[in-house]
Amino acid sequence: MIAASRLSLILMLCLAFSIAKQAIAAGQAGSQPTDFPDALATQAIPSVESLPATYPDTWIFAHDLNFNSLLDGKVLIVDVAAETRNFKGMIGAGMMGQFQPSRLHSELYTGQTFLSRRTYGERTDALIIFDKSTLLPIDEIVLPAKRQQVVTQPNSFQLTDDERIGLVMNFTPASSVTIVDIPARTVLGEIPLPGCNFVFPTGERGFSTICADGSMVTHMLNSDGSVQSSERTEPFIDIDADPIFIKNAELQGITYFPSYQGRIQPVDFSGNTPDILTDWQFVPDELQDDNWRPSGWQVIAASDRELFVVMQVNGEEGSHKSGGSEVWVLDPDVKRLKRRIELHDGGLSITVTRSDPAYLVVTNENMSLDVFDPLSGEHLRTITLGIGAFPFVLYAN
Amino acid sequence: MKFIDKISEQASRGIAQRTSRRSFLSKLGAALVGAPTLPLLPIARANAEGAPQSTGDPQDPGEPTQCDYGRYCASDGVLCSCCGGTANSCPTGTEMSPVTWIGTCFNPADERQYVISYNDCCGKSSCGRCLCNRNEGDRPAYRPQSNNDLNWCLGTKSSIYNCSTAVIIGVKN
Repeated sequence: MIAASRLSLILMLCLAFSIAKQAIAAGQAGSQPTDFPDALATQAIPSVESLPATYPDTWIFAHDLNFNSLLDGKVLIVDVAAETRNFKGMIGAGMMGQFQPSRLHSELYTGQTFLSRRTYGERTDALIIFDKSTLLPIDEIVLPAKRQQVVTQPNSFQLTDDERIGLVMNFTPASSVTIVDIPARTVLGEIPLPGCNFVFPTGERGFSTICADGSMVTHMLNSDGSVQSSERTEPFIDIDADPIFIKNAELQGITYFPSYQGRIQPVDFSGNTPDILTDWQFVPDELQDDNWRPSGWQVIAASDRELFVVMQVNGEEGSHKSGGSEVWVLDPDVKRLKRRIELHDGGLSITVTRSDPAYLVVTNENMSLDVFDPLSGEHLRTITLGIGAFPFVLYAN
Repeated sequence: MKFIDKISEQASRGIAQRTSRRSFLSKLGAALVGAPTLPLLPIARANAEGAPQSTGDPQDPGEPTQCDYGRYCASDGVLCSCCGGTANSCPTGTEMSPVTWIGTCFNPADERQYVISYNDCCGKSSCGRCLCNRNEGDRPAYRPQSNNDLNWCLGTKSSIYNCSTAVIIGVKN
């Protein structure tokens, strides 16, 4: 078999060489078509693209969990306004990596885990810093080797203090957060978070976390990353009956959490303690019998004046991650449903770009990205990512 | 249709597109020897990779390679039954996590509620077969003992996730 394959390869190479030789001979004989008097210009090798230091606001980050090969998870950079050449590049964020783009610097941050023998061996966790222009790693901060590995959750890694301090969730299953000084490229310390998980930047330099009794604990930090003050709210989440999703969207300084049963729980994190605002049910009375509920992964997004929620009809216990058939647009000022956008191929995760016009981007049931006009609901284009892609979280730039 | 079914369907179509139809069907046939009837494309079930392997126990009915097997009611992961293990054991060469999340599943055969421990198997790359995501009783990971989104390869030599089991650890009274 091997000998036969080699023989056929040699024959093919000989044929290709013969054809090329004839083509060159024909060219030398001066038989060019008159429409093209000049040959195509020669091209340099090597040649590698680069991206702008500041990305256009129509670009998004799609965190591809790559569930069928978690080791090779990645963050894809996509221009959702472009009809062609919309895939701009990628960075690695494997094994349930944590990701945040910087808004102040030309940097991208990923919490990653590496084993010395890929699937076994010594574990090293690190915050890898990528340059937005080159998409190359430019630095790293080695972390305590216990960062949380969870199906991609933006609030497993956040930034506070004008992006100076990184907050990296750990889970062993004891919970804690590693405090990182990103400009100084150093770990400042670790704060235990017993019975709590996820981080929500609070005030100028601090964070809140949600606890298993349905309360929130808030730690304000000194500039050296140590705890300055701590407070716990009263429990406000009924985790058995109607928990809030960890996923949330910020609009005009207020953070909105949807719940399994279709409530919106607003929280104001701008002060030194979270202000738990009055919740509201957004499924209208006339649609309650159809059991419309939020369902998917990143089920909520915000424009500069509206909230968007992926909704599923006939929801039931256990269906909160199945995905939805519509996106509902909510007006938080009047606390009600404004309009509904039908998803012809379903939806799992969404984001809304900060561009003008804005684009609603939906991870559809084929794991491609559907792009909609968020005002009219018109479907504009579908962007297909790689085979096997799991773009579970979408970040507007 | 649940997302998980669509993802499997997409993956199956992807395989079909990357290989000749004959080679795809022959591989599919090889993977499903003994299956009485086969849909060709699309394959609408997430678990088409695994040939049925009934427990043979009337008190524990169902197919451990199928996502609708009773004890998978809170599962979110790939089934070790399709990856060289069983519903309650890990594939050769992996290590079972000692800690994990707990679910409660109803067994219609004996009408008992069973407490199920969804221990992950760790130390080899993602198996990628028989994705199963049901989520009954799943709660956000701020109550981690009820959450199936976390990688529970904790306390193991390797933190790399391979597949998930569903082990009966008790009866809920």
